[in-house]
Amino acid sequence: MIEIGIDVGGTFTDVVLLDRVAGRLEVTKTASTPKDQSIGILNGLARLAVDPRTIRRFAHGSTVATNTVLERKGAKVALLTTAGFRDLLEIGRTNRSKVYDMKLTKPAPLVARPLRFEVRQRRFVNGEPAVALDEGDVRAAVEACAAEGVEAIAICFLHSYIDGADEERAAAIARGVAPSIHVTTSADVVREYKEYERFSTAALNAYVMPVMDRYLGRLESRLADAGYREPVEMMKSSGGLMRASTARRYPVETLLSGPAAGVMGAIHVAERSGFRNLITYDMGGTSTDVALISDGKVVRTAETRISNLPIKTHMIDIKTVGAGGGSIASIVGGRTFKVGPHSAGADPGPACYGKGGTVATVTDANLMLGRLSSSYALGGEIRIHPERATAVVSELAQAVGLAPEEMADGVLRLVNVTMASAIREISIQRGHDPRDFALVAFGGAGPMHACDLARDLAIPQVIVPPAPGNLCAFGLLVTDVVAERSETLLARTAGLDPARLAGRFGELAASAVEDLVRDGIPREAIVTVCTADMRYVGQKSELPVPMDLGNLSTQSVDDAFFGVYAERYGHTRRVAPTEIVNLRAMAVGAIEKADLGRLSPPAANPESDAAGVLARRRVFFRETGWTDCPVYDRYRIAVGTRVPGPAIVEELGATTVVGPADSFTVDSQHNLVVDVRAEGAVEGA
Amino acid sequence: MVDPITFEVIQERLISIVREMRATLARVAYSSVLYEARDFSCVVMNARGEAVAQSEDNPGHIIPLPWSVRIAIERFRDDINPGDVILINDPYSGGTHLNDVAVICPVFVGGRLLLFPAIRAHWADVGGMTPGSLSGTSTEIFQEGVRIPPIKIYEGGKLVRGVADLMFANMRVEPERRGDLQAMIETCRTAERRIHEMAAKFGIDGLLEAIDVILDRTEAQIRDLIGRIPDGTYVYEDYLDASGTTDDPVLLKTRIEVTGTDIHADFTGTAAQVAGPINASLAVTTTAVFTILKTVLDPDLPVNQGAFRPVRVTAPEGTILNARFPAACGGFAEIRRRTQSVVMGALSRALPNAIAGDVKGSANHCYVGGLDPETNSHFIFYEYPAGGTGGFLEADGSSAFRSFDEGDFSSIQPVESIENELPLVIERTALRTDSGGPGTMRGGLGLERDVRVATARASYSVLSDRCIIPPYGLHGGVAGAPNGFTYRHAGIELQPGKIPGKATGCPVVRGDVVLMRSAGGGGYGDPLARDPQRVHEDVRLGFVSERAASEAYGVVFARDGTVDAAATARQRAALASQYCHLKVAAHGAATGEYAHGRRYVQVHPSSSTRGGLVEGAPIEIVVTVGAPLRAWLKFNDALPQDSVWIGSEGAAMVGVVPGGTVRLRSLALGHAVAPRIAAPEPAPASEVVSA
Repeated sequence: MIEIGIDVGGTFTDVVLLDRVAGRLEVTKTASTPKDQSIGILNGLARLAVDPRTIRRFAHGSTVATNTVLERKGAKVALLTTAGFRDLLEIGRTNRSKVYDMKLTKPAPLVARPLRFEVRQRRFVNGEPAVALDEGDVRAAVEACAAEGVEAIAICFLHSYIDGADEERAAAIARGVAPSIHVTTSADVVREYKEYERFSTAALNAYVMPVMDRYLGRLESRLADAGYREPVEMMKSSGGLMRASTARRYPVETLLSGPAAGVMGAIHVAERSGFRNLITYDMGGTSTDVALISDGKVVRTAETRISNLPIKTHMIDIKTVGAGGGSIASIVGGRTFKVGPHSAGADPGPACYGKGGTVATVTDANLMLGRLSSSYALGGEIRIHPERATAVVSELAQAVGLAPEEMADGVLRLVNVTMASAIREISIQRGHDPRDFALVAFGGAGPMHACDLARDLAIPQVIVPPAPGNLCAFGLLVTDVVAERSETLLARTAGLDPARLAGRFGELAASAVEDLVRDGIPREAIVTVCTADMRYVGQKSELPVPMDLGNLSTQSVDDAFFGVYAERYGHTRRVAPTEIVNLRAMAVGAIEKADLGRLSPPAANPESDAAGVLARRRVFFRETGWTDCPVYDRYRIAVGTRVPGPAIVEELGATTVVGPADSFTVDSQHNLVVDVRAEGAVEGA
Repeated sequence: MVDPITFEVIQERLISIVREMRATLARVAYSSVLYEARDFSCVVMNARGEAVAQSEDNPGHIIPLPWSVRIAIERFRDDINPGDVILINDPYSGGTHLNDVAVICPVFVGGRLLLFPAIRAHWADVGGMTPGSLSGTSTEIFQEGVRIPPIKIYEGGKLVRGVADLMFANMRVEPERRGDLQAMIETCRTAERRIHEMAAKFGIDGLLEAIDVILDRTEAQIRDLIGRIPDGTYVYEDYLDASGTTDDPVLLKTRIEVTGTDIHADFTGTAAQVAGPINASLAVTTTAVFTILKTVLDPDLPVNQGAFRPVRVTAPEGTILNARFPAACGGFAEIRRRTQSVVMGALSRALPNAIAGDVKGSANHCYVGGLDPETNSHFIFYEYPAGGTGGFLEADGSSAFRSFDEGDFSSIQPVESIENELPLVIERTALRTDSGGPGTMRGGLGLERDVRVATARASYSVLSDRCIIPPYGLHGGVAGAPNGFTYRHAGIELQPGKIPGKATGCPVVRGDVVLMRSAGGGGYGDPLARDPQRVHEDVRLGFVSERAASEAYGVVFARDGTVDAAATARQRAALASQYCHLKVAAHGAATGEYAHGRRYVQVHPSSSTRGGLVEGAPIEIVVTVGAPLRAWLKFNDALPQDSVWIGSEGAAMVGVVPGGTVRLRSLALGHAVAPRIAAPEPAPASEVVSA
């Protein structure tokens, strides 16, 4: 039985093939085809020489929705909303992303003002009688939309989280009047209060819907033509898979598709090696994603923004910074030396790619210091020109007055500073001590920087999974199928009837389970998890609190909240009244997880010796200067052998750099586990 | 000698310490004004009392925090020991208002005093005459809470119990206050650990050397930028609406001298301190000057003492900008904002391309509160609506968008939270048509929010400004609409207090609708030069009414809605011909630039036929480069016809000489928004105003 995971990134399309029966794991990379990502996918499959008819699962991480929003290339969208509020979407919460910038402008709303229609309709929560939906207004608005060539309509009414009937009725009218226009309703996308965030999510959903629909249509027909029969599954930002049919309805849930797959992959490989406290570290060409996993649990947030537009769907809490292999080193204002956030990207890319890049990047620095092989890169698709890297780095060194290798080392130190800041933010600044965590390094550049980064942060161990450049694609194959439901309760805990609360959780959970059953998951394979978003009365933000439905009382709910609050904030006030804001249920259709230990790893390089040494070369380490360093073939090193640093460990598409004072082993799961020697004399943290 | 890469690493680590302090305090603080509204700032200072690193702090705190720390360090110079913690909140010692309490912890490494982490945080209550300590009606500092000169609250690691007990006995909600103090000290201890780590990694001497170089480098960086401002003296003035006790405008005046890479901002001539809470310390004035420099020169400039060095600020003691004991200081935020406006206005002649039209100019605190009989509990609705930002060289301003001196916080709450939690109904939330200041680049629109009272009675309070005198436009651009906080009772729109924007406890009843209107941004450039197609788009979007398109922009539409080019050309010519251009009279032709705390310009009465000028009315003297000078009109028979006397200082403010030509334009003030009503009932004691 063959399973395929495909993660389409901005530059590369990564493919992983898993054959559990034959114990086979294969990986490949091919250039992405941004105009139609499905072409790259078929190219990738062709490289694997796999018969699509033998594929049982096809799990997909996609940047279609992300790029559509970032590049503002979505559909022509209209909004139907409660009279008096058509400008809510443009006004938002009036936030600004940057202080001290007089010329900063607010991002344009996704729906232009003339396409924001008001319809007579209003619901109150204080007992005043509702204003009934004026169906004539709806019809007139939809007819105007059709005349204007609108492709998708978002229907967003105040207080629809309580009762979505008006939105549903308006949607039905819209579908009747203009069947070719996509329609989404706010309560269907997020059934939670706070209208601007919910409306924004619905508008984003509508904005992406026609694009996602067309894309999936092309992908499915290409796959069908090739003989593939099973439905496509897509990765959600929350770290679960959904069927393509669901993704067509909720494309907004795929905005962090690829990064979420990386986190799920990292959790899986690390857990198999016995690590449950992780910092996942995915460094690519332009950016780095980091996330913190405590006791194997993913932290999710419902307060994300993309291009400064809020999204209220649940997403893994991932921090992204502009630091990658392509990050450009420069001198600003004649004085300040900077690396990133600008990137040379894939085109022209680093100077050493020889594609016209003329500025020094992180990759050029790595190459110059011997950390990166000059013979091949990125799966052999790109020829490397080391002399160009040396030239650009030397030029910069001259300007600053440093030796070329000091300059190159400086570039690495500074890009590490940026990444270390991001990790501090998700760990130290949230009350976690990095010394209790392992750093899981992946992405094309992650393993090259991980040991230095860990040393900076006093993280004791680094884990490098096999084929780290393809971990996101692999992550797709170890992710469960998940359906989520939420609704707003907004009630004080003290006045709650536990039986009724359990009942509402039960209904939510049942409805999530039905989603999975409809997608063909056997009922007995589904488990449900319930959480409540809680806060002290008077606070404005909530914390997710796990609920034990078997033991639900106002006291147990409060106790659970106090526990979570104390963990997050260091103290808790037992006497203050609390309230439950939202109820959440998640149905998980667990899939059988692949056991890396039972798979044969990718093939070793035949040129390596018995100890796995491929070659020796001069590598610059800060601690020891230019050093004669062995270069290992990762897949030739025997499991369990402890190898002392310094070492360069190579495999197709990735290089791990192990410092002179560090050492590593390859464990039974084929993970490289590096013990990082901390810097001397560091006390307390 | 530390290498350039290590400098960068050390600078980033120092800023990381401040970021960690911010995150830690938000995590361990007890009161919501800290953990949610994040009304606090953090700094690391060196032993000389210089700010070494700050982070994403409120611009209002940038200078006051290190200023207070420096005063405290000087006070205890030879008597600072390990385990000491110093406390200070005195506004006259570089502070803001009494609610902002600073905690300072010396860090010793190897017996040597190395650095001071310090925090200034808004305590929700520090005693005084009203809960929350701030009130729009206070007239002296004693009414605003406990005044803390620099004192040691810990000595050698031991709490000075008597001092703490005395202090907390005079504040409301004592446990929360003690919790917040503890949280601030814990946060400084976190920074202390990081400083020890850095000293171990880089060595004490290496670290101190790097810090000196970082400060010098930042100084060199800002000097480079200041050097690009043409040398010269730039003068400008503007007004706060009113002191609160009277409705007379309050004058703020600046003279900015740029000499090479130095800047001196002199506020001599600014109004004397007032009986209301609209007074501030020189530190607040200085932070306003620095905010504009950083904004205009380089938004990414690091914030440390090096950046402050080339900037000198003077303001005579006893003015609202350098208030003397016992002036009340609660409303310093409005002063900070108007100080920014005048500095921007002065620099707009030096850097015409770098500066945008003015902004809403006030925090816009708006409160509706009372006792909800259904739940028998007190409720309070509190919003501070953002306005439009100013137009600028490259683009129109943005609508309903926080201004450059404000952080990434919401200014309005979700309708669905308000209606769930409070006995109020939001009837409307909309962009405010025609509020953006007309210009070649239009100012952004303010917002309108209609809040209906859905309980028997409540009270309505406002602390705002720029409700009378609107945000100015630049280079011929027109002012944005002023802020407005009124209410509708039985179908009639009313002011909640005697002075627009200043109201305490105005009674409102079920069915009344509180009308919040935030200011539009100032326009940039002459509106008659705006691309007619952009005006067409503005009308299509409803940002500009068809009438305003014709009257303010001179754009006329044909029957099919497209721009009628010929009619537009005619209308623009007609409007331009109505511009009231007058010749500047000799400086000696008259006297009396100021009277009753405001500027007067004088014209021959025959000029009243030009441009509808009315004696006593406010006007703007408009020039093609720079901000318009605001003044009131006085008729003078002795002047030649078609001339205007603006005095020598007035002439300097707009950069003209006698014989030159200026344009007079009438200025619509915010009084007209709604009729005034009689004074409301006195404020109930529960009204809280925060800045």
